[in-house]
Amino acid sequence: MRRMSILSLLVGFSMIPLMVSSARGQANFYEGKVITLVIGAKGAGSLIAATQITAHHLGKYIPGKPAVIVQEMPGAAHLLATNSVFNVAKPDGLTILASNPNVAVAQLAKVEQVRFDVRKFHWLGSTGADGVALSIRTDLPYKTFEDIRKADQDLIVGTTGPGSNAHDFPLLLKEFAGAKFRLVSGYPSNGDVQLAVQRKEVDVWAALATTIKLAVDQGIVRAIVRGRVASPGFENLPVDEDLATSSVGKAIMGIRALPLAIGRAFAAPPGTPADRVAILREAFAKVIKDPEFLAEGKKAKIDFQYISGEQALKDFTALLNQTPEVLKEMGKYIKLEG
Amino acid sequence: MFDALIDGLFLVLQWKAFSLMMVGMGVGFVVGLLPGIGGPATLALMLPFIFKMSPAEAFAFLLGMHSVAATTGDITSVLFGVPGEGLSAATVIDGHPMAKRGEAGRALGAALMSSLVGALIGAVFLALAVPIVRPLVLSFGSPELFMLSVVGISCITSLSGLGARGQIRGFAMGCLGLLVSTIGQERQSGSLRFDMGMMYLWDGLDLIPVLVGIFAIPEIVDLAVRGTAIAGDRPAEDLQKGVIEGIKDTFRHFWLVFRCSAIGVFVGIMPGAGGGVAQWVAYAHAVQSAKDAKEREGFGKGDVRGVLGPGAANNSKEGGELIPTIAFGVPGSGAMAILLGGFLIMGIVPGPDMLTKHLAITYSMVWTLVIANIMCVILCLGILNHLAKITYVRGGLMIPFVLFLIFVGSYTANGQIADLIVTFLFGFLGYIMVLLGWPRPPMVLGFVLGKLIETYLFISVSRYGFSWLTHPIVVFLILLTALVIAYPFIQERRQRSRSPANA
Repeated sequence: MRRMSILSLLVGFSMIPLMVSSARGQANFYEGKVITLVIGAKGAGSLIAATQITAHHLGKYIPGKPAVIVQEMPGAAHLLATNSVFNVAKPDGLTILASNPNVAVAQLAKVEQVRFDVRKFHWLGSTGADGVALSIRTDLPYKTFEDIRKADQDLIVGTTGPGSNAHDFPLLLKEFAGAKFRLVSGYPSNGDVQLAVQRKEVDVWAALATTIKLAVDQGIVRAIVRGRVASPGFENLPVDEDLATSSVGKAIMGIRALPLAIGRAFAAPPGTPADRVAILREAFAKVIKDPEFLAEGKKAKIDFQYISGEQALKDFTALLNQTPEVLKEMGKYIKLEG
Repeated sequence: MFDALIDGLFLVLQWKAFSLMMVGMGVGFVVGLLPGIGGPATLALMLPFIFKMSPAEAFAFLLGMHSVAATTGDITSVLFGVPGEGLSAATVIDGHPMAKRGEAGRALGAALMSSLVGALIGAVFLALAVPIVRPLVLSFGSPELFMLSVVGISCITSLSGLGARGQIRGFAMGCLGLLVSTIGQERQSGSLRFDMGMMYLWDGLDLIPVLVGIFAIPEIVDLAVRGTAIAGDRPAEDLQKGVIEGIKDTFRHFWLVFRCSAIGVFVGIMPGAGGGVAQWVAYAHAVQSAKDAKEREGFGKGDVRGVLGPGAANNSKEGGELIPTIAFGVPGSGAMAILLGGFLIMGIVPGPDMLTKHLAITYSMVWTLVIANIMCVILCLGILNHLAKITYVRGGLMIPFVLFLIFVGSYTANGQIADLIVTFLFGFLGYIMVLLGWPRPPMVLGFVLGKLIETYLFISVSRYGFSWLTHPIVVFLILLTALVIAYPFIQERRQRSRSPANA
């Protein structure tokens, strides 16, 4: 017995150098390397800005201090980038997806081009959720959602097309909460809708809460309703799910709310070694507390909060777990964004 | 306003901002010169460097780079027939034939000087327009933007050959361009068109691989077939003299340069009109300046006015494009979209404040455009002699180098192999078009404007029914369209009635 315990002690001690060399190995692995954050969009936008800020600071929290760069791979509403990281990228911990969690809705809707399973990614963490809000021109007399329900004529809603927050959020309010809306879709971007609001071509506009907040601060619009995720300044607005008059409507609104709750999540492709995933997860957890990182976020008017990788995976799993009835109903209203 | 103008100048002239602008210019200079590799891709690469800069420094750096890339892009367009920047393709049409004729120096002199004049006129317009720019932009709703695009597409009559045959061919190519623009996801309902099951096509075709393919590949093939240098076996021109001649051309046709600059600013100011439109409309306007049929036939074969017009518009639009970007947050081009990303990082919110409270920063951008352009042109004029010598280098040595850069340039558009395939396919199409004498500019115009026309027509009808047809600006633009379409025919008729009198 005694001999056994001495033996096990010896074996245990002999493992120490191995463990140390493994940690050092990871440090050596990342030393002099470049980590690429792949994002499925290009140009301007809070998701891109948030990813740039993350790239600016992430490297210092990874042993070996690798360089971190952002690679834009726009196409098919983030599906192209997600497919590429899932299937093509080498799972060596050097390629990370800066995801748009809405791709899970595409997976749920069984879109043919989806070649990934969000549940199989290694979710590393999210730099924060962003809510969605619906707003109305300040010069119009409607101040509450009730006013919109009772409006004597349809209000014009400018949207960027099916699948976007700008389109789906007001569409669901129209279909399931009695809002008097007429949707005019096809504006090239949220900026174009905001411009249309200013020239009074459009009365109502929905977008990410961060974007609406900027327009509210400029006195262009007044916020009326928000989605489930409460963004700073909009906490007291009524929530769309509470306004829904049917359970199906409420369920569909709930599905749309989940990706927004996951927010700006990062993922490593399946097959990435567990120790590197652990290092990356730790780095994301640390970067979110970095004062310089937070200051840059504040400057860019992006609210950063940490959401763990485990939580993101839990939310994705819940999102994909829907009854066939709800899925069928959802298919009538929710399409993919271009 | 005057105070802000002076403050803006001082913001740029601070040593740090100024040095960063010089660094940006250096990068932009090299990138602009490399065939096919454009400013937007470089801007995106440089964005991470601005974190530690102040807004004035960051924009001096980014805009310095961008404006220089736009100017030096013209050099590549003239020398190799390869759009140096995705958007400087119109300069190729007349600039490259001049180089082939052994007049590279003159074409470069004209391109650079018109770029400088265009940039200066654009900046002056912009500085003066600040008080009225907001009401002006707000008076252009979706119906007005639709009609503006229609005016643009009506320029096809000027971009096509003369006579019924030429016009039909131009019209057919315009339609082909429109058809190509419909590839991808339709914005209104989200349905996919001609996507052939490929996700790459969901967002439609990117302008850069299409333009680079359609203009550059035929030139490369032509060079390979001829087996000579770009300028053929002609004796070397007196480059110095040629450059000076090109500069003189700019002032000989000053009013044309002025008008094309104004077109550039106006198209640039219109949100959503897109940077690719300005120089094609300016080119069409330059063609309209031809006095008779004979003169008009010279366009496309190396008329210096075909270089001056787009050269001026290409740089004046830079100032114009800043307006929708900074005042409304609607970028007019890919480069401006990246600049808008820079705004976010800098914590600047685009909006009316940029034309009032932060006017000094806005003017600092205008000054950056002015200073960077002046310095770039002076520098370029110094080295043009050496650059133009490239046209006398044997084709066999040039082709691999240029071909490599073309494909690198196309690849930077979206970072996908499919970009290279698109370049190759449109290169093949471009070659067939050149071989059979079908004009390429109408197709490009159709492609560039197709999406805008579809988008704004749909929004206009679904928002206003048909009442938008009575909007005053719309009525004016309908009349303008009729005039633009009829102009070549009026000109031809006038010419015919004049010639018997002369005889």
